[in-house]
Amino acid sequence: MNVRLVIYATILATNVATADQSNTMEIVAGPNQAIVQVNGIVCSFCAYGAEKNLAKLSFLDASQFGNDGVLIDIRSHRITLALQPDQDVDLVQVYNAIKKGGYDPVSFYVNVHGRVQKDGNRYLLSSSHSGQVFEILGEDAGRLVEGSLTNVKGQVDAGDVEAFNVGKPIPMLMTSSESF
Amino acid sequence: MRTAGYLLPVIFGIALTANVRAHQPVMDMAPRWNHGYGFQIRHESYGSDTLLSGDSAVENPFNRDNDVNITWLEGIYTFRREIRLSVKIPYVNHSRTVVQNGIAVPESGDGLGDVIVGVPLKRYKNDASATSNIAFTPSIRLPTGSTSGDYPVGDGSTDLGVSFSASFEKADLYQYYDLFYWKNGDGDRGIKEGDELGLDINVGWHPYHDNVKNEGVFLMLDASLRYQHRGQNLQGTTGGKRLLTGPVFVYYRNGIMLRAEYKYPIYEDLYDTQVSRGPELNIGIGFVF
Repeated sequence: MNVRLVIYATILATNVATADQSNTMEIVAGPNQAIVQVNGIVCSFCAYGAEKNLAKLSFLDASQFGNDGVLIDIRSHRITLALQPDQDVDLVQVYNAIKKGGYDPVSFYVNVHGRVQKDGNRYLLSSSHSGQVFEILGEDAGRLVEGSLTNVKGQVDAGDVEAFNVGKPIPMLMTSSESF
Repeated sequence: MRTAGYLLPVIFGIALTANVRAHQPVMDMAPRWNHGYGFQIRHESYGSDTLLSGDSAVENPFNRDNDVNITWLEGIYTFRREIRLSVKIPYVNHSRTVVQNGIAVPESGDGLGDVIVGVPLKRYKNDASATSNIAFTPSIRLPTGSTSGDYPVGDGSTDLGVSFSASFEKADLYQYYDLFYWKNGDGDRGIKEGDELGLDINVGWHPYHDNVKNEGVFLMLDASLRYQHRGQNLQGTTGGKRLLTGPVFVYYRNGIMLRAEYKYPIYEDLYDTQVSRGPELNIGIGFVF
């Protein structure tokens, strides 16, 4: 038996076997949930610190996901946060909790309930719960009705959260909306 | 053992050409978070009654042997993920049979061994489906162990170590490579252990993981390659080359990790005539906070 051949075949097999599941379908946060796509999160033992940091956030529903409101999926590289009813996720706090845990957030997938405002050509959504203000982007943003209470699902880039300044809206790419 | 010698270049080849990753999970994989800390208790045992001259087993009419048990208390603190401080405190209990004036004499010793302090400096890279890091770790081994008795637990020297490691991890695969060198100082009572060059390789699979329970298992293969320069202890020559390999089992749940490791010496080539190191068993439990 050629030992080198066996070793090389083993290495090849292990790399083929580790197929990435992170780029599959569109990511949509469910009701009372937020999802974070995170670079490098491939081992939950290693991510225990990030989970601990996140579990301290006051807006999480600790009765979900093993009693801390945080679900880390190491195969899709996503963290799903269970939110308390009538609470919005504070993206800056989540970003900091993950960064201090040793990982790099990439995108947030959120579901924000708030009132639509118009500022020139910009559509803004002011969260009813957290007070965070989002600038709604995307082809369908123009369909939002000023003054209406609306539920908007969308994606927020982690770079925009990192660069967040108080009083400045956070850009959010809308994927769907529902007015009340 | 001679036939296994051809594996050495293959192992070195893997180290140079493949990706790498997880050796002591509590000390390396975690805590990678700011102000995280952890500790583990690990029991290491090895021993043999096989006498080697070079790489060949020879007759052992006096039943020379060696039996070493070390319980390690190891702590780690992460200032931020790039800078850590580790402390490893051994408690040694060992015994051996030596030949003095033509008769077999049992010797033993126990007590606090030589404490090792290290400062792992890491650089991380997080990709979409993988994480990796390279590390440089300067270490010092302090002469805290007693050098008295017929089989002392310390050698009385201050030793300086340096390690270069790299690890690479995906959800299913873990690899770790660590190349290190210990510059051993002059000890008491004429003891002078030779400098040691080592390479550790861990390649592991992550066959089971439960996202909700934060529970899982790693199965790994460990290979440990050592070359120690010729040295001297109270009983004679030390040093030589050896390659040990064997399986590693890791179970974790939240911040608790259990690890069991068995390594067998598939190749040894020792200076003069010495007792083989023998198979090595490591069992530990670690906690991170």
